[in-house]
Amino acid sequence: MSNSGIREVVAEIEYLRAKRAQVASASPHLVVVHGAHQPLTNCLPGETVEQVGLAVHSRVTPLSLSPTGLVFADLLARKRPMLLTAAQIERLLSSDPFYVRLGASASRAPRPAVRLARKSVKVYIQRLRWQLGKALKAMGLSTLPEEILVSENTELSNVMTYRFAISCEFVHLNGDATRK
Amino acid sequence: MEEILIVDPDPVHATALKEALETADYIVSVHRDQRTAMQAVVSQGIRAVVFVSSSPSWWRNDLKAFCESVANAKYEMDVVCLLRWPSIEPTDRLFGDELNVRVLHE
Repeated sequence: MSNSGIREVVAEIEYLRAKRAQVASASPHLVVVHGAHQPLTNCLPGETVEQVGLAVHSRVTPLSLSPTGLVFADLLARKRPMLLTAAQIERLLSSDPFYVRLGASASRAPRPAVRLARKSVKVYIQRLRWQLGKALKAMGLSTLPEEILVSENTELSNVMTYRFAISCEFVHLNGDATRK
Repeated sequence: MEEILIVDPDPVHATALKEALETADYIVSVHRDQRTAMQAVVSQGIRAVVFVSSSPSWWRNDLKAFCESVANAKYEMDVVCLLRWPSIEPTDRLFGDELNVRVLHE
């Protein structure tokens, strides 16, 4: 084996290690993409939730979530840093104007309001954590999904609260899908 | 110190590579066949692998099989593939890019 070949392998390993360390030290944040955006407004009722992703530096890894999963993640992101119980999540999804009028400004037919029973909240939390875990692994981060989507006990032993422990950014798309 | 795994069927070549990496302060383990290497990757939490091949006919199949078998490892892993012949055309590197593997030639 030639010396230059050895040096090249060692240099490549060193580079990859440094790159991994750089990524691992970065803090991820959540990126929520809203569609059907009206100019000069932000997060108004009538918008849609198009995508939720995890971002480190400029790299965004989209989470594979169902339409209800997207809305669920959006709710936790928009209400951050509030701690939300399953009952509050259920109530907000059925009463908050953003979710009641979800997609009303979109050119396509608006989808019906999202209904989520209190008992389903745990399932959506698990699904969201599963997707966060996949994204974290893909990005080479050692952070656990439970550190990003945090559960905390209340003084009532059977009531949990949930919140995102990372910052959340909202990106708005116009009707013609131009990034704003 | 970080642990690196070498998959190399040639023991003499593997020793030279191992010594070079140890000089750079890595803990290095060597496996001659892919199967034991795959088991080690899954059980030991390896973060980087140097995959060496002397076979221009089979290296693509071998590398792809290796990458697929370690895809569910606990950590995302860096793989460097060292091919023991001179580079002739860029298709080898392009193949590596598809698997997110850096392909080098000796």
